Amino acid sequence: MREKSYDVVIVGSGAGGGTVAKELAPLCREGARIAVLEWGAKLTDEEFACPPQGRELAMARKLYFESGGVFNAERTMTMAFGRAYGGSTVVYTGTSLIIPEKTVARWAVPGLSWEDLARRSRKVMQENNVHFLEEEAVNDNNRLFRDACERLGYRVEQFPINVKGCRGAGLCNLGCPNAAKQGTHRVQLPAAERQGVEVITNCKVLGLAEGEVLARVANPPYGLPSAWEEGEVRVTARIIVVAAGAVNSPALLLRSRLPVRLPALGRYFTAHPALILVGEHERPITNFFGHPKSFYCDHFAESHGFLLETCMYFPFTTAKNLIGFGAEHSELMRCMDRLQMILVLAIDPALPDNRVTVDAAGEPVVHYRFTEEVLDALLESMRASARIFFAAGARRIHAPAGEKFFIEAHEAHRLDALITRRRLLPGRISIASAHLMGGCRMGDDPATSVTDAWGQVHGLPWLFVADGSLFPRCSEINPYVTIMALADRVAERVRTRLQEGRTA
Amino acid sequence: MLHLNSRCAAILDAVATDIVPELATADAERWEAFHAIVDLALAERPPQVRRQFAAFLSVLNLLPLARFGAPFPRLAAARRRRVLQWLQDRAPARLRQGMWGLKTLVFMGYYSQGAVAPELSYCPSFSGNEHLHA
Repeated sequence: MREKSYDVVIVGSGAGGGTVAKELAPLCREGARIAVLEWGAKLTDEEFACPPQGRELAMARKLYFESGGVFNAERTMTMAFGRAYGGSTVVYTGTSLIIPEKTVARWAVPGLSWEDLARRSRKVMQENNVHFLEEEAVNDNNRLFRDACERLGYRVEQFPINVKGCRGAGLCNLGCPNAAKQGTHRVQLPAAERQGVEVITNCKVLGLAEGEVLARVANPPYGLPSAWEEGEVRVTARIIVVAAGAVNSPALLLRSRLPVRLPALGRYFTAHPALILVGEHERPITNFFGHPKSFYCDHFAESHGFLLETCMYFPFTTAKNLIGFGAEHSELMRCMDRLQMILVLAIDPALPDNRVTVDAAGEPVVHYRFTEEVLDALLESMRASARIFFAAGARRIHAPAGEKFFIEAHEAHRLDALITRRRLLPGRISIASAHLMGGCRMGDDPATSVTDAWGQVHGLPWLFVADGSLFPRCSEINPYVTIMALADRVAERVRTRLQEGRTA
Repeated sequence: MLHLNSRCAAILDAVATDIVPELATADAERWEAFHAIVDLALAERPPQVRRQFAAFLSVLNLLPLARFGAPFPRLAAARRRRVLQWLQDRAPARLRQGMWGLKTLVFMGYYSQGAVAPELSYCPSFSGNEHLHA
């Protein structure tokens, strides 16, 4: 078997891994050898420019695990997470929020303060060119949402986003065709590589132990070939940073059979279970033109446990998120240029039985059950969204838990009777998740957490975690900036650990 | 189709026209694209999932025998719809999940075809901002 040797190996190149790579990169000038091992491929700009028609499936296959439809074990939810040079930062919409102070207070991690996270968040937001979209670039889908929320007295805020030269393709979730989104594939990884960090794509990490990582390189039929030859490789490293995301990081640690007891490993997985809701207008609105996500409403976060965001999805994604089939479904699908869309995110609790395990082959299995409170939140979110659609002027709306396929504007006063809990059956309605969190949660008690407040795995000074799996509970907002802020902390601690090694 | 036997493929084709009515009048090219997408999606799933899907199609085929005296593809459209509606709304969880998986696969096979997009009034552009105030 071939062998490679580094001081630091980082597993994963998304928001966490990319940030750690960039922060440690200056050490290369002092002779440190640093490698990022990324499972996914690095796509060329030509591949990102795949035509809009038919792009949905073509890009999903290249940029997501299982095309964005990984099931939980209960088959009641699909999970979308990226697999690419840049990880999920290639496929998010670039919404950039600082985690609320109250959320960090609820996390209650000794040694982790909101002030520290906010400071680091501001730093990465500056790096990523985060700013508000100008008013003339806001499309009808977003404007209607904002105006309706204001009319109803719901608190609504604009998302800061991390784009540079956005031309409004509206295809963020399939990789930006205009190279506008400032994910780690555009900012942190190129910066790290310029300073000497090696990024090895198409490289799946099979397992790890103290001082070494076992990986396999296999080139898919797209993207650039890996810098390494195909086949298995043993990589030695003084420090290993795992940043493979909330599904794959716990799975990697679980199949690696670490020499410490970590009963919380894989547990307390949260997902912000999501619904995509639609309202139909009489006339076409601008929805698939322009940036898709400009506003969010956190009015119901504390009272009912959900957030609402603007969104605009693609034909297949839209079709599978509508309940029903046949003529009515088809009728709604034929008017995509008249659809207003809202994304619901439920704020879900961190429970020990919602967890990542591994199967006999070492592959991750996500066990996730919806609590009654989460289902209640999803129900209320449909009613609130319906009110917003109607306040925005929609002629009719579709709610997955509706007593009928369409609810007409003249029925808006009967939403409680027309959108009911008995229709909200897991496995009947389409619930998805793109915010995967927990599984390697931070804390000071090894019985209930996996790492300390700096991402170091309890009892293993050579092993760190730096991704959304660190979250002890869900983030209650879009998580990527918080992942980067935490990764920035992890990098700081790794730097110290390397220096300690040199002086010891 | 490589990942479904001919019997299951025939059941899938029959039910697909109930889920997406446009498929009933689709031309050979669109059906070919449908089959290619579904086949690739099945190829990418673990063998166990493919087996479960084939098993669900067999259940769907036989389910109406007791009540309507005929397998699914030979039922009139209204009865087929009743069977599918029951599977979606009232069946035990495993069957409900199977129905969800079936619908998802059929929607994928049809709605992810680039040629379908104009019929959905869906025509995004890489320079979408230029169309915002047109």
